[in-house]
Amino acid sequence: MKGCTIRQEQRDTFDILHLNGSLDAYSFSQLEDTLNELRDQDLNRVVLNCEKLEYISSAALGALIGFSRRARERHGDMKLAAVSAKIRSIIELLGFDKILELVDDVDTATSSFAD
Amino acid sequence: MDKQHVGDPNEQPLASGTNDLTFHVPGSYRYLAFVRDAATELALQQGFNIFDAGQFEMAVDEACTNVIEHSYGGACSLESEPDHPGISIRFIPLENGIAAEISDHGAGFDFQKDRIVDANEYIANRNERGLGLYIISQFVDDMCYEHSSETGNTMRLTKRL
Repeated sequence: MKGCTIRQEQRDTFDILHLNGSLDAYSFSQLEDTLNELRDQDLNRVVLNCEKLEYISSAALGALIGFSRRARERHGDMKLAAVSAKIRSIIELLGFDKILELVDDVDTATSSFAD
Repeated sequence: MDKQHVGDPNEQPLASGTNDLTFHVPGSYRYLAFVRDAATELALQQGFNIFDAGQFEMAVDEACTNVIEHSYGGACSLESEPDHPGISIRFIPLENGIAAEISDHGAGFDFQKDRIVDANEYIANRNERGLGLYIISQFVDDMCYEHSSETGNTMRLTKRL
C-alpha cells in the first residue's frame, strides 16, 4: 500500500509541505491534520511541493480548496508547485485551477511570497 | 432492483469475457492503491494516453471510496477484514475502451438523493466533501448503478477511446 509522507519546512514567512506519495482516502487524514495544525497556528502562507506527489483524491482536493480559501481570507495563500502533468490536467479539467494556484516550481512559489 | 443511469440509457450489460480481470479487496482504504495501479495499467494497455488513463484511475478510486464510505459506512478494521464482504472490481477490456464494475454488499446509496454537485457549486458552497460522483461523471462516458438488497450493488463505469 502507498501512503504519503508530508515533510514540513519553515522558511522566512511561509511554510513548505513536501509531499511524497499518494493522497487518497487512506492517507487523507495526514494531510487534514497537517493543514489543521497550520490553520490553528495561523500559518496562512503555504507552498505545497508536489514534485513527488503521485495521486490526489477528491477529498484531498477539497481539503486544499478549503485551506486556500481560508488562507486568502487571512491575507495568506497556498500555492501548488511542481504538479505533475497528469495531476495538473485533472485539476484543470475539474475547474479547480480557478481556486488552486498552480506554479511551475518551488522557487517560483517562494519568490512570489517574497514579493 | 433499482437501476440508475448517467450516460447512455441504452447501453447493455457487459457479458463476462476471457480478458476480464477481477480483484476482490477488503472494504478498507489501504487497498485503494492496488486498485488504482491496476486501473491505470489496464487503461494504458487498452490504448488510452496517460491523461485519460489517469481519469479512469481517479473514477475507479472515487467509486471504491464511495462504497467504503457510504455503502459500508466506513472502513473495516484489519481484524475484521477476513469476514468483511469487501469490494469486487472487475475490469473489462472493450473494443473501444475499458469498463470497471465495482460491486459490494453494503447498504448502497441513492444516486438521486446524493445529488451530483458541480465544481462551481462546490466552490461557491464552501463544501470540502461530496465531489466523488461529480469526478466520476466527468471522467467516464457512462456510469450505471444497480442497487439490490439480494444480489448486492454494482456501479459500472465505461470509458471509451
